[in-house]
Amino acid sequence: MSGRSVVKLDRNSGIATAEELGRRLEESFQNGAPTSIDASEVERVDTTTVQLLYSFMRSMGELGMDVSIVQPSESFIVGAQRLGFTELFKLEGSK
Amino acid sequence: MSRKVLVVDDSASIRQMLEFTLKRASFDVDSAPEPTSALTMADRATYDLVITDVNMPGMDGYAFVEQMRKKSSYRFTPILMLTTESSQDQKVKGKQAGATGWLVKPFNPEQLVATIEKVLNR
Amino acid sequence: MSIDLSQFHQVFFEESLEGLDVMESALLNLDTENCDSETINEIFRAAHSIKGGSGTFGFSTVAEFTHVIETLLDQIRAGDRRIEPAHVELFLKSVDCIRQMIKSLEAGDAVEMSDANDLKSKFQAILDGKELAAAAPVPASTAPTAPASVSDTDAGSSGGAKTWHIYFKPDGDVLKTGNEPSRMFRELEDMGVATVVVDTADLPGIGVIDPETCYLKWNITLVADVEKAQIEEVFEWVIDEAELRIEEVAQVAVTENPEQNGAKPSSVKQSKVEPSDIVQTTVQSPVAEVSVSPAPSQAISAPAAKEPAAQAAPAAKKAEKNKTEVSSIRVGIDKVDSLINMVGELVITQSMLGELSRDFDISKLPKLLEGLEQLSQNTRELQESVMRIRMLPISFTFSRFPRLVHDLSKTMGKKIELKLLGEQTELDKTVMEKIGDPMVHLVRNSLDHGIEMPEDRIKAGKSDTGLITLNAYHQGGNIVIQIIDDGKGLDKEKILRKAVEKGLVGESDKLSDEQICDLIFKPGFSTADQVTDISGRGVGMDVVRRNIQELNGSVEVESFTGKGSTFTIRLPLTLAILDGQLVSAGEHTYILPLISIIESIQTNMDMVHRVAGGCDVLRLRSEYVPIIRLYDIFNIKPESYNLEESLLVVVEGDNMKVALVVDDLLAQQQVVIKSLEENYKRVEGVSGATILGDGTVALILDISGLIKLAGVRKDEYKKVKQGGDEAA
Repeated sequence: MSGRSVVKLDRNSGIATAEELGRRLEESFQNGAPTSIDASEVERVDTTTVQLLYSFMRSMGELGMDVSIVQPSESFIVGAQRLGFTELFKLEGSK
Repeated sequence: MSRKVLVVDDSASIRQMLEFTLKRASFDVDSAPEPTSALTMADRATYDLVITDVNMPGMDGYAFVEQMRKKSSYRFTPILMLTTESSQDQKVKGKQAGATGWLVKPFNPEQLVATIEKVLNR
Repeated sequence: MSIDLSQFHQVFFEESLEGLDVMESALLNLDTENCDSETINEIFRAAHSIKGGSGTFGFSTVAEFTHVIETLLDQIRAGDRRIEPAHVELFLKSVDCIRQMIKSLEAGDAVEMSDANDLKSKFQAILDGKELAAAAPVPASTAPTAPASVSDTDAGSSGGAKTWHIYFKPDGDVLKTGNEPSRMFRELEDMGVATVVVDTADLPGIGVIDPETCYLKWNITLVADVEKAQIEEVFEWVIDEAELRIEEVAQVAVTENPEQNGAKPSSVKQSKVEPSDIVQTTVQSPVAEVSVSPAPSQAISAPAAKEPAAQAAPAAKKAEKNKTEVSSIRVGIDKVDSLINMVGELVITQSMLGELSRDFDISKLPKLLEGLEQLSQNTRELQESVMRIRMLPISFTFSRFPRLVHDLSKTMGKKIELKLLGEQTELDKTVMEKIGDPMVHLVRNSLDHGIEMPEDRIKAGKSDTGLITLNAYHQGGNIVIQIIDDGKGLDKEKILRKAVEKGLVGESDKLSDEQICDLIFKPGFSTADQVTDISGRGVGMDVVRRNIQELNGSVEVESFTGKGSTFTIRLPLTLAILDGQLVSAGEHTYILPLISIIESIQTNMDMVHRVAGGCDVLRLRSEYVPIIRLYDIFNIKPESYNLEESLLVVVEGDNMKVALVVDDLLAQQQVVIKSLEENYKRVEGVSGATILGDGTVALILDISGLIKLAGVRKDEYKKVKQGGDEAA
């Protein structure tokens, strides 16, 4: 059983790097360890990012694995809220 | 870092006007009078947004957009076509070719800048 | 702060005029039987560009007019309509019309709408004549209308915040063309208060998800003071690749149900919004603002009504404005580079000379001479380089002829082919601008009087199509322009008869063929039985010759009966420099334009005759040429008053020959013409001045001015001719 994985999001998390993020998340999923998503450096977030994150969170949840978003940047919080993901990402209390 | 825009239009006055307008709004602007040179320019620099006319000699705007979309670094770059106000056809064809959206001619320069800002800021 | 678009107007005018040339050229080359699609596209694109640009820069009259043409061209290009010769003629007339409009705009004059309106209605008739399934209605005007009138209005929208419910389900591929829902949601946020609820029901697991496909749908509640159309506009780019439902609701309700249980179920729009609504919305705003932005020339907005006034008042202004030849010039970068190089060399030479002069002693003399020689070469090269900047290929002037020949041959019912040779031959821009009209006159003359009707040509054993060739080439320091036709040639007998009638030539005079042909350049000479409109009233060949002479050039004609005529124009490559013959009279040096000199002879008293009235004449072969003594006219002291010790230089000016008495012939050289008028005042008989190598000022003589000064008037000239016969 491995320790907690960390997936750090790019500053510009968008469709251009979506494939890559998808791969990283899938890998984490294969590893089956609880994961922290480091959103501290994020300056931009779009639909592909939130989709991938939530898909990952849900698949992990089915395995009983915990995923949490840590140190979300202001931009991340605003961007996620704009797309309706505040609750789903448990970003309450922020903004 | 300044945002780069590529303008493709065979009309010098339109190119000049767009260059002036966008530079004033702090964009980095390059322009090409026709698609072939634009495609080369797109390889040499990375543009955040592309604006292209529809009717141009040689390759038309649609073919240009199709070619741009084949480039790996421009698969998702916003590409806007300059269309004629009465043509629904141009908009549909543009989208089919892979354009993000359109700007209707004649357009107001300030509006253009506002639209571009929206597209780039998300 | 709005942007002043007028700074781009000049470029727009220039490129539009070029586009019109392209259109015209393509139209002339168009074969309506075998319509070449690339040519049609070229014509369409040219019209389209002009329409787009004129709309963008607020020239609505041009935009409207061009729009109708573009619509017809679009049909032809799409294959929905066959192009007919009648269409081509109308298009050609439209080119003229738009050209005129652009020129008016450029000059700041009112745009005349009479021709445009006439053509517009003709085009409209064609468009309406055939029943078309043509889609979008032609928007007649881009004039500002009332603020966005939305077609699909929701009841009672008079302002105040409304609550909207928006269901947005984009297709999977929507993200792949650069569209992003968060951009659209942000726009909604800017309108009012937006609450976004996402539906992730279709989102697959991380193992199967395609990262670039969109699986999400949203329900958004928007409280804002906006109309439905404004919300639709936010989504307009993705309207065809999404499900979008927008409803107004009474209360704010945030649910995940797409079905709203609020009020007004009747205003539910089930499926996608009609594109036409979107189009309309998008159209209104940019258009309305365009007309608000600085209108380039307010004159445009009051066209038709002002016609008579517009014609009267600025008539004089227009005449001047027409002469505002664009005071800019496009120069190839190679010429500029060459110039920069020359200047570089000059600077080097100058500094070298500067060095030498520092502690100069006689031992350095050879080096100094070398340096001066170098300087002279640099200056010469620089001069050539600079002159070349003002030179443009003659194709600019040649380009008006295809259209001219096309129109005239149609009017006259003749078949004429035009061949252009040496189009790249360069000449000075100003010279080119001024040679255009004389050339037009000569070509018209060839078309009218030279080329025969097709039947006559066939009878004469020629092909039914006449050929006019324009040929340009360099020769020495000049440009030669030939206008050659294969028509019936000059009717020498008729010319001779007319000349005798008018007293230009004595009945028994023997004239060579050359001299007979040259007679057509005499003032008032016209063998046309009627002055045809085509060749122009009252503009005779003499005016053509005079105009060309004013450019320090010459024109001659050679003709063979039944075979054709060739007009040859010779022009200096530049107006600023003259090939001159230096002559001395007393202590003074004068300059005669080399091109005006026929010959110079040592005086032989046998050839000189005195005529009643005190005028001396020179018998030159079969002619009698008045003698003018320069020292008399200019009141100077010559070296010798004895004619035998002087030289006679026979020159031509103002269609007359005279012999000038000078002391000596000096060198021939190129001189730079300096204006006397600008530096002093206008002097009759003197066309300019120059500074010679030794620093002295030499006056450049104007032959026709001298003739006037000498009091040799035309009737006197004739008397001389007759008197000469008596004296003989």
